[in-house]
Amino acid sequence: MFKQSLRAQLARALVMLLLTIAGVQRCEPLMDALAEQAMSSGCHSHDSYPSDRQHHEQHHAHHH
Amino acid sequence: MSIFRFPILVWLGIGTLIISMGIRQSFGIFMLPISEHFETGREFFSLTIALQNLLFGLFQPFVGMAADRFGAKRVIAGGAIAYALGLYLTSITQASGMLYLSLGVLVGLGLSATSYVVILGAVSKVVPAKHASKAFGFTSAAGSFGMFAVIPGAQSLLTHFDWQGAMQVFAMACFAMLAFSVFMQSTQGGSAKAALEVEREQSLKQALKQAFSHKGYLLIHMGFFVCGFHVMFIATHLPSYLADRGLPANAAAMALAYVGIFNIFGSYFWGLMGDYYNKRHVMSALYLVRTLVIAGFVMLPLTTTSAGIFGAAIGFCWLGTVPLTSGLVRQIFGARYLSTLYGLVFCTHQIGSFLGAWLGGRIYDYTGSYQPIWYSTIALALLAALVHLPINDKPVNQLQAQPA
Repeated sequence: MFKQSLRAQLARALVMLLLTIAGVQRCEPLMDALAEQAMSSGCHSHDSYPSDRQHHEQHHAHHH
Repeated sequence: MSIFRFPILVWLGIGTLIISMGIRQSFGIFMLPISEHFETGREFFSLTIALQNLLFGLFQPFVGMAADRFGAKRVIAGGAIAYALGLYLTSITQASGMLYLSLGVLVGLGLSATSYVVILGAVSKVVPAKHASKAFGFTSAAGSFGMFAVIPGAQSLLTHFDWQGAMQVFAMACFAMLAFSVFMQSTQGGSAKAALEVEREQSLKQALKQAFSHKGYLLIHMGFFVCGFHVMFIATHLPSYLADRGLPANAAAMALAYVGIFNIFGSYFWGLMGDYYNKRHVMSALYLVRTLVIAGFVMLPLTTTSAGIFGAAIGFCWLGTVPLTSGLVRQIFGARYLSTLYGLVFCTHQIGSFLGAWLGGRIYDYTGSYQPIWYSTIALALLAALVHLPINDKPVNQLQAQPA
């Protein structure tokens, strides 16, 4: 279906990577989700984060 | 071999990884509601998750052995049931101590039986050896990509349900893994089947004896230990390091988010490279890149931009070690006992992870600085780059599969 040379496979992967980065940069909720997840999975010691997020969610709920 | 020609088992394995690892990735957001419900403080939940991670590593060699003996299909089915039961019991229990058994032991066991070791072992038995590394890389990458889809879903569940309801939805999702396992056929044709037939004559005991008397196998353990050390040290301590250096909290979040995105493509890239070039050399190159990236991060001026670039660069060589390490074990020892042998290597990885997270904090408390541990990670990366070079990667059973 697609060319299977190394160069072709790498080019396709690069295009996918660039599209993903562009998509993530433009989609703020997705970027926020990734960042929040990164914080909660890799940042257990960051005590202020959960309360900040809860505050953030309450803030959003208030507006909707 | 195009990814679209991969056997159905590869796609079912990816689906299993997405659910299994996706749910695991979401446990962080349960910390607050569970801690509040049981009025135990955050340490209790942290300890439960730490126990789960420890058992996740310790169970790996045993589920690997079970998969090699009874088939990946049965082990994944059993793991899915343990995973679902663990999540369901967590949601209904009134005693906080029960969480050690449910969220710690049962989910730890379920995770072990439905993640990389068993899935990659099953994939290795249906994909020809020359495409194994790409298949491992693609499986890891697609699994990671899917995890990101689970995360917003988990957050949405917690918004619409209480935490018990969200856990029960996750428990039901585990039955999808059970369904996937039903359709997993580990039969294959051609050269892969011919090779496996010859390997079947070897017992598990013989395979273990052969592996542990092979110097290369011990060097692979060393390399993967370093990988675990790096990954967990960076994931755990990067936010604190950046905060210490005066960067805003969102700089750490962005850097770790970039780690996640670039890891997906890095896993595929390094796996692909492992099929085209000598895996030992590719592995050395990966660790050399890590050495340069970490050295640059520590020695060059630190800004929000440089933290983002570091996240992207280290993410690119984050779990690229998985397809290369499993591919190298497969190349040397064959597919028959890959789950067992790779399970043991994975266990060493988890020990490295534990030490990376723990020593990072310990040395910081002792010296008041992250610099000593950063320089240690640079030295370890260079050491890992070097230890892969002398590995004798010739197949021990000289299984050059004959065309069928």
